[in-house]
Amino acid sequence: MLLPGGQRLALEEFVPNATTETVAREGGPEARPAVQVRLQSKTAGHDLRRWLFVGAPGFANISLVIAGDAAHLARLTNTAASAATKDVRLLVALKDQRLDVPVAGNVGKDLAVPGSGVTARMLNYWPDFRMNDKHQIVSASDEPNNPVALVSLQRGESAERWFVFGTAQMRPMLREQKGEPIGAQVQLLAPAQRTGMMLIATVGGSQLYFASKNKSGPVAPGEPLELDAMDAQLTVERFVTNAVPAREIVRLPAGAEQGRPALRVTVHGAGTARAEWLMFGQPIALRGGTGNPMHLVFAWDSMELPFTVALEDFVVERDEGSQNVAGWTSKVLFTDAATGERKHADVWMNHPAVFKGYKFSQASWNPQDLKYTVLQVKKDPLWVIVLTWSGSGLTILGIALMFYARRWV
Amino acid sequence: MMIMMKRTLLLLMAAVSLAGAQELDYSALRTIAVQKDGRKKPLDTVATEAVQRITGRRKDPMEFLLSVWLGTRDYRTMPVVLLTHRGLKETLGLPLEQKYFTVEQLATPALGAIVERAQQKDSHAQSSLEREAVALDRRMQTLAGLAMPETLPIVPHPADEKGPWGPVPKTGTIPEHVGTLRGAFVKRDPTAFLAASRELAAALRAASPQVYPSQESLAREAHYNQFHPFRKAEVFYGVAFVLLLATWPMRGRAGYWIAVALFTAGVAVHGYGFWLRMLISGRPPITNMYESVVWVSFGAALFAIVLELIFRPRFYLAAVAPIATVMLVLADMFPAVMDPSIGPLVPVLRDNFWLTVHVPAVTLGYSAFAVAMALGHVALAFYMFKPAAHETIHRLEHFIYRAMQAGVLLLAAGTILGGIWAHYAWGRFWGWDPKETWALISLLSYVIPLHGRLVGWLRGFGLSVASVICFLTVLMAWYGVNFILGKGMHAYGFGVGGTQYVVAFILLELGIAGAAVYKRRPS
Repeated sequence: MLLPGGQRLALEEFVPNATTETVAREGGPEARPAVQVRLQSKTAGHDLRRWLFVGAPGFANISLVIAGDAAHLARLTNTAASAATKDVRLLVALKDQRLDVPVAGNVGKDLAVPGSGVTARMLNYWPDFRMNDKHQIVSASDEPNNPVALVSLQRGESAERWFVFGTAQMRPMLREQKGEPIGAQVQLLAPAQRTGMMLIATVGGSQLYFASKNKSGPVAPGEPLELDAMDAQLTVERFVTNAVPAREIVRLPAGAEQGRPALRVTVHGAGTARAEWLMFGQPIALRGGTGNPMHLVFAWDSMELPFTVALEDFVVERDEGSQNVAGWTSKVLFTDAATGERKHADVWMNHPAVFKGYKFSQASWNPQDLKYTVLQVKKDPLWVIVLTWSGSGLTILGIALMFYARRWV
Repeated sequence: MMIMMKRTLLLLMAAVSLAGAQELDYSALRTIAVQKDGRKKPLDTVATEAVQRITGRRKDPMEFLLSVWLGTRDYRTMPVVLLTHRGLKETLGLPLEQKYFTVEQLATPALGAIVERAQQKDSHAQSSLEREAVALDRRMQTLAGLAMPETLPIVPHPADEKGPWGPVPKTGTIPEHVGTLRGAFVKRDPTAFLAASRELAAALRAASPQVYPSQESLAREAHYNQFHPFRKAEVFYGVAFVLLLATWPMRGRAGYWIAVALFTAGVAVHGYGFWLRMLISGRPPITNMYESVVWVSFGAALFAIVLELIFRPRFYLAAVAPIATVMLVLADMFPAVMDPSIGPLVPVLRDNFWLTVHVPAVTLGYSAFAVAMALGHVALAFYMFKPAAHETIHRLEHFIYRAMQAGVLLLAAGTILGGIWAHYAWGRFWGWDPKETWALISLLSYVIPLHGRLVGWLRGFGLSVASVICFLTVLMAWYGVNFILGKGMHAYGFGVGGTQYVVAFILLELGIAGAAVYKRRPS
């Protein structure tokens, strides 16, 4: 493809779904460490690769820091200092009344919430709640890494059983209820702990260290590290001491969200060839040619219809007596300004509307915003339609004749 | 076979059992309308579906529903919730020999934790234990739902035909009728109970006569539930098959004609059931896995009886009867995998003329291939055990060839019709959607033996083996795309489960074909 200005453009590769990512390349002028880590979680089905830079926000509680000297390194890798208090507390609150007791020594005892008539009892307590391979609930250790308690509440005839978690992300789960709801709030208060994993690089050094809540040591490249309180493994795949950040394209699986199509092109100038990635909808500046600077954009070509389409209404039908969506209809108005012709039409699933040979099909909609609709527009020439129908008919007829009327053909 | 015998026995027992003392007459209550899961259905359907889901059986649904709904029994202490998964019982510390449990036994934090964890996963990623735990949780929810009056909306919307219905209100005549009904139910007074249920039914209808569904349609659906046509068909086919086998050595005429009559009765009941189902749902009959299995077995049985009556070779009935029986038994046995309930359609399938043409054509193609496979079994049995019966074998091969032809024509026509439809509705004739691709693969896999025979690559034996092997591609297009791949534009009837049975079937078929080939190897 010849571009104005004497350059030539060649399309090399199309990637249906891609995104860009900041990666580190070796070769910077000063010591700026970066690591590429891989996080795998069997339970969650994750397998992610990321680059971590010093000072940049990490991900999933994993961060990269730099230790200025040996003393700093020793301080960062001293896990004993982070071993906080193990005091987990049970809190039951009912309007103004509250019960606040340490879990230790109170499991299985009847605990009265003062002035409320409510009796609480911890039926069971797991400091480090896990489910083993046989789906049995166990406590992996006596450390309060993931405390969970089963608490029963009783007031007169009313009784409730709650599953209470020590992490803020998990809300208490009601497992059983008899009688009127008691309306109490049950909580486990677990001490804040250093979570996640810190990777530590030293100035100018080629050895990487790690420190988690209760473990630390040197990192062996390629060897997985277990993450505490998360069913995941971390592997340091690459360690770059003098990093230069660069943008790079990452191919995503076909169905993944967030991505967009990308196109790799080569721009051939006078004796030069330069590879460029074009992300869908993101223009790049093209330099090096003669004449005016140009922008290169990879995007949809827009075409104008010979008439106008207005969305008059968008109707969502639901199954009777429920919130299940039964169907959605775009009520559209076609207007041909040249002839003054107007046509109201309904477009819905499997029922396209046709105006002047253009077919409008319901392609998509947004349950959050019923003010717009997405229609697919297509124009099939008559001969395509005729060919489709006659070809299909002839194929079926041909098979039938071959099978059942061979003596006549 | 065991199942079939049991069914026959049950039927006989039902016929001779005397009416129990003080049996309540539920007929008036069965046809009370409930607005549930997006449509209005008789209470009988709600009861049958709930009991089926909770207990896995269909025993006394109305009795069960009323005792829970009217609160005459505490549902938490009723040992009715089905749990057969051994691993889950072990995990929950429940007695392994027990099959039915109470909610109190089951509602433990351990189960809660498993369910919580399972629900964070994609259904395909769940282990069998987790899937069972989720199903168990749903059974308990269904049961608890029956006990909550607001989940049974029986009071019609005053004016809007599509408006939401309400539960029994706190005041007015309707709760009085419910109270009377409860009293008669507790006392087990048949006369008072029937009178009270009639009054309640009349009061509900009178509350909004223009919105209330017609008595005819409610009664039709209750009749469909009671009549259980597909189970009757299954018994007819099974008995016909046994009779046919038993009288085979005698070459007797009477036995044969009785078998033909039984089989015909089976086809009639089967078709009648389908017709009822169409009337009830008000739409074409094949929209999910359950319906497609029932329809394909119907198609196969229909082909078999028509061809049997034309050619009278006995093979059609002998080959197809067991297959139709097995398909219906499977459809009946696994409501969790193949949901027999009638629900509203997914949007893609609504008001779709092509659904009434394209899907039945494709699935009738499956039926023809099922007939070919059934005949293939018989032919391979002859090759293995009676290779000297040349004339019989030759006839069988001819029938297999004919069945394959019919299947190819139907499948090709159905697939092409689907393409025309897709061209119109989706803007493309062919999109390599999983269902489309597998339809093409199974079509081509049948075209190979047909051409192979034409040019002399294959003879009768090869065709018989092909009829068995090629059916596995149909299985993939039919079951595999929906239950294993679970992707694509043909997004209906997706589900999970039953894989072990399908794998067992595939191994069995490969084993039969392999044994036949091994036995015929050139020495």
